[in-house]
Amino acid sequence: MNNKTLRPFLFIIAMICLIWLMYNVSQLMSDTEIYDLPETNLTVIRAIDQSDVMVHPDFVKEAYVSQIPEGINLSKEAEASASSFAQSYTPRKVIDGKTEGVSYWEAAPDSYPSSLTLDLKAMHTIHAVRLMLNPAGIWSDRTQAFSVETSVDGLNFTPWAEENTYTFSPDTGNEVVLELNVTDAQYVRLVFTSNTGGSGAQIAEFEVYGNE
Amino acid sequence: MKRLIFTKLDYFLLSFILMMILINGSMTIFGYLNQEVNVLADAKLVLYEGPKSIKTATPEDLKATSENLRNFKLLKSANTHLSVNGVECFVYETNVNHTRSWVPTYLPPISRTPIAYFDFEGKARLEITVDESELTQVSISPASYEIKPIIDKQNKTVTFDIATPDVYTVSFNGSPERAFHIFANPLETDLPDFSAENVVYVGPGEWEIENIILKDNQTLYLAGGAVVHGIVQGNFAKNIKVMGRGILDGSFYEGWKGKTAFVPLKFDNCDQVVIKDIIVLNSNAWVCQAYQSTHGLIDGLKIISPRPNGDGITLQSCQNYTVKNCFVRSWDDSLVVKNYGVNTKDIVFENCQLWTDLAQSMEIGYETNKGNQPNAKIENVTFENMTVLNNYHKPVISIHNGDDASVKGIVFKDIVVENAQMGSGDGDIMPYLIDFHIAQSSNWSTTKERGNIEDVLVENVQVLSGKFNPSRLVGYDDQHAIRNVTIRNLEILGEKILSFEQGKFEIDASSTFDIKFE
Repeated sequence: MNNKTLRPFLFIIAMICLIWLMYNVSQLMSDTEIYDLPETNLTVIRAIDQSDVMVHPDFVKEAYVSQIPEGINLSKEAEASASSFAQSYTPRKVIDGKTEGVSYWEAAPDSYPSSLTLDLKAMHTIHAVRLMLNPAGIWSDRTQAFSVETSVDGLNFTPWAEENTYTFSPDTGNEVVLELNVTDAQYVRLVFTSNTGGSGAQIAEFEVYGNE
Repeated sequence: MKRLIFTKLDYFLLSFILMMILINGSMTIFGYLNQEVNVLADAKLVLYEGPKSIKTATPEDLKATSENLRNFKLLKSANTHLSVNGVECFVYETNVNHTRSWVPTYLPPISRTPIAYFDFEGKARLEITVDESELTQVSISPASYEIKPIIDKQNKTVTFDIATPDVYTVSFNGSPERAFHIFANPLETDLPDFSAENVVYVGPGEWEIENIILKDNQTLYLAGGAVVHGIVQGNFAKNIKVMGRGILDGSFYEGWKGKTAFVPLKFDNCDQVVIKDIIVLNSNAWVCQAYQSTHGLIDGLKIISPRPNGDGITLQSCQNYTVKNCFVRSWDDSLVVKNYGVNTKDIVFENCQLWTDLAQSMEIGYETNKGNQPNAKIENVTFENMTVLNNYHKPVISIHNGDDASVKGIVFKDIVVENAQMGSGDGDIMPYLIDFHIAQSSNWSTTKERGNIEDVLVENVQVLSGKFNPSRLVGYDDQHAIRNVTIRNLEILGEKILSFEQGKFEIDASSTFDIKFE
């Protein structure tokens, strides 16, 4: 074999090397592009246009105006007692003028019927009851079943409002107002038989309206 | 044989071939070395722009000071950048707390740290750039991935690849400060039907929502890119779901300071509540509470809480609850089980990452009967496959029976503590790795009588670095005792612990019985 017969082989090998180089360069080029992810593989969730935090319109609630009965709120001078209470949720919290935080009465768990009584300290002519829970939205909707009774001596009670189920909703101030027949009494008692939003009956403020 | 005579052309061809072999050979080797990079082209990536209203943090915003003395809001990072597969990812600045002692004014100094999140499938190459710090050392947790990042000190970049969706924490220069938490989620699946009436959808944007109270059968979907300032709660409800990639943020509330707690996730007296994937930051008190709830699932929740009483996940009087795949960094107990009402039963925590800046990592107690119920019990509670990235304060593994309950059937299994620093600050009163204690506590006890602790297994616990902390097993008396405890396969700082002495256990013989070491 002489160099003349070898030369075509050298040409062929050189050509193969060139093709190999082109292949390698193309591979390298594709490597350098890996950071540009194919569009289909990259999803960017875009932000909305806003320059400041916004109140989310879907969660805005209409303002509610409290329904305060006419007359005088006699519970300011009253004394409260209950058939039971849970933890620190004592009955005196229903006459402290506060509905926030831990300022509410809660009966012992599943202790129905549970009663909450106000002693107005003197005979009064009364006509309405306003019951409240914390109006904050975190006090979600609940229904409580209860009746209202009155007494002149604190021993013998007579029905003032038959048992009914009432909804307490933060959308309506978490309050329930009962306008009732005018009557004379010193004691007003709520007798609860259920609460869908607590382990026991709950009231943050218990107001009785009447005359001096 | 004839001698070959080479012409100039032959020499040229031969040198050309030789050169080609050399060039192509090295290119092939280079290509082989970089073939992993090619895989990125097959990756799928979802990035979420941060809300445009979120301001960029100034150096002043990064100062460690009380929440009253600086802007406490969630911000955009100015000095930490992340690119994922070459695409920029939004980095938030959230609050964290490096104080190692309780602060009675409720105003500890609070720092900031960067966080980011995205979803991916396949492989992701993360490149972090930090502007202002000097990079001497970088570590990435969980250590089990054995990630060795490429560190470019000159350009202050850290580069590494991940293939498994998880939470990755990048720590710089051996310090917990400015640790970068990266929530690398899997792609979202099982999306709810957004047009359905029972689905409450909150889209991308920074939103103020006073509260979202969920009712029976409702699903709240918090989309990635959403930041909601508000709280999500349920009461006496069933079949509720909270999910999505968004952030629930409490930075616009003041700290609770012992008064009004706006608990971002609070589900009391509920049945079948599912909480999935969302991120909860800057709560004004504790973060995720379930009270007297049953059949719950908390999966993939991410929590970072900087403020006093910022317990991560607190299950109070719950039954049949599973907590898994969560990340909890907290300035109070990270995971805690208590009795506030009815008995606790059948609780499983698994595959979570914890970073405990204050108090305990995995705690049962102290309140084991705050509701003062007859025959109080806490039964069948398991913590399994947990990674504690850091604990700076009180025990990692603890049962503190501060009331009269019977605490029984408790398992701590496959626990890795990457950095044990228990006993820092005022944690020095209980710098334990494992602490089982029956005691009357002036702070926490409700009942006059004392309870007991029995049937406890602690198995496969490994402390990788940090301190060699002691452990304690002390009951109250022989009637209110710790019984039947097995500690199996404990390894501290590379040392197999074969005896109580070697493991620095304090054991009270008069109030502990049938304690085994294997």
